[in-house]
Amino acid sequence: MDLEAFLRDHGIIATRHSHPPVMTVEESERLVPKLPGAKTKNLFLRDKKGARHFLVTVPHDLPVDLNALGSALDADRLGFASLERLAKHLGIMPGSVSLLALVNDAAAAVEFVIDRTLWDAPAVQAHPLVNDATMVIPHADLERFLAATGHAPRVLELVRLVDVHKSFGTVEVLCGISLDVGKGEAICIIGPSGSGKSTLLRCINGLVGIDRGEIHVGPHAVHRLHKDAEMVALRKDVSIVFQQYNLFPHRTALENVMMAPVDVLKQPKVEVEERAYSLLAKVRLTGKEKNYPGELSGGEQQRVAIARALAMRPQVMLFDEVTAALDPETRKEVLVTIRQLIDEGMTSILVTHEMAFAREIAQHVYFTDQGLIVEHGPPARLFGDPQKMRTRAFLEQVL
Amino acid sequence: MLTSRAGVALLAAFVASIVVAQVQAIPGQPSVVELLVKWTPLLAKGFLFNLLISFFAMLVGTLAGVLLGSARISPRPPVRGMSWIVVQFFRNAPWLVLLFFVMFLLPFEFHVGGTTIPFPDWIKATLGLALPIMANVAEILRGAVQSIPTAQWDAARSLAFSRRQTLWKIILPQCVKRMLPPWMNWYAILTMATTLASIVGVSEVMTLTLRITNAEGRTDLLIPIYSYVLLWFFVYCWPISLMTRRLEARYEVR
Repeated sequence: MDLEAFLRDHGIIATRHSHPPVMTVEESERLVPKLPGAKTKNLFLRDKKGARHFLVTVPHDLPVDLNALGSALDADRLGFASLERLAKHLGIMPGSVSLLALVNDAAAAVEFVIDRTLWDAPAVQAHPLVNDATMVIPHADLERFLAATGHAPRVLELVRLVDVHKSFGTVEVLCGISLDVGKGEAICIIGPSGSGKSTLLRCINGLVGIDRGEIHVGPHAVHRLHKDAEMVALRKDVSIVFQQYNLFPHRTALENVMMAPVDVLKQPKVEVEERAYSLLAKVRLTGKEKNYPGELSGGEQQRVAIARALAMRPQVMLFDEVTAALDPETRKEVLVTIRQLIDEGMTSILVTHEMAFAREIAQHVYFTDQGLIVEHGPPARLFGDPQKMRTRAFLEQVL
Repeated sequence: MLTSRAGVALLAAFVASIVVAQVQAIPGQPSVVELLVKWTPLLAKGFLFNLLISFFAMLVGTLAGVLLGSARISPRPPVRGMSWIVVQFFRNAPWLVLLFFVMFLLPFEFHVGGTTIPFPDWIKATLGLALPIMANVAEILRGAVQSIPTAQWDAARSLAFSRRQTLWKIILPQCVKRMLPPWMNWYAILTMATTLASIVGVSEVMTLTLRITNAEGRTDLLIPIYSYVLLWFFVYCWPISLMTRRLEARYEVR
């Protein structure tokens, strides 16, 4: 079966394009042999710590001298810098991280490019690696394509939960939750009240300890942290925004944003102040820096809370029903702020009752009920064609 | 609670006692009013001494109370238990007993190296009065800390603040407002209690009053002079009480 037929059979409309293909090692190992007539030669990309691996898959007949490519990319042919370096070489910055699949017509190789903006860049079009023998699958079809080839669309897992259990007394709140969040991904957790969604978030940043299972956030094994001092390192990487904002009422908006970086991270005050001003500007609160939380509306307070969380420069943001306490008008301004963050590539886990918002921004949606993940999938499928009775019943109630 | 009605009653009693004394006055003796005027400077000195004792006792009691209160909310059970015992002991022991306790427990002078540092009675009395204040401030602090929503702790922890940093930078500053009214109330109580120091021989206003009445040997002076002193305490403590109630009312509606 040839590639075009394969794509056609799965209803994926691909366009011809050309691109330097990049995919993860695991993805390529699993995927390449499955495709008809895959004949490729591979280049490994590795960052200095060896923590991330990328595989550049090029068609075997692509007229590329790997040694020349290696030196062009300032690395040897087996290992050179990470994707960021490649992207930089191509003249673009890997800001918004997302998946893009490219299928090469000539060699029928599947390639994953990790930056959505990458391939529109003129430098990419002009690059010698790029030719017109590549098929491009539109981003919108990517999920379907990956499903058809039996793959989860994961680039790098930043957050990984394995079989997490938690009880409060005799009440089991989490009964074996597993989920993964890739770097730069936004996922939403939806479900009825009391289904353990908020507890789940609190487990991820160690506010609540778990009874069984594993939680990994980047390099931190959260389930093994017990002491306060160990938690501190985790919480520098994970920020949470609460439903009730929880600003410090005795400090101004600016001071709320500045406190943790100055007192905890011991960063110079002048530098932090500058950053705090620009963060408050980012959440559109310029002019309210000197106001106390009590003088701000709910939506404004929540945006200060977002700026305060961002001031730690976290790897992951957790949003715990952040709009639930707001009126519809202020709700929107908070959602706009969150969407902007997600568009900029902030890895985010959102517990929310805003179904329309979840559908729009999430790469993946999890429906939980009674401490279990009932169903999960890309938003289009979960909202459009839910498989489980429970999911359907819930969505009928809320939509 | 000191009310303005009590103040009016006190004033009326004072005036009435003077009138009665004047009516019963024996000709040729100086009038009660003259005597009061004569002794006012000395009484004022004594009264200032009472205030001095109250300031220092409040200062020492508050500082020690904050430390003891921090121990009361410690995550370590032994620390919590020990501090609970200390607080219960000093809150429930009669102040006068504590005062005697300190008077007889502490030496009247210290020998450090070759020098002798005197340890006058009034300082001992101050420490004795600071003890119940310490215990009560500790309870105020514990109550105030526990009245701060746990969400504040969660927010601080999730911003990587340690427990100590959370307590000192986030929780306690918010407690100050809530602690102020009961703290002021205890100050008023303490000021009135400084007269206990007369029993252990400190020359404060009550001791002086007693000496004056002894020196004058006039029974008709007794009621006017004591109600005079009482009036002073009222004039000093009443505004504090008033302000306390105002602050309480303001924070109640929050």
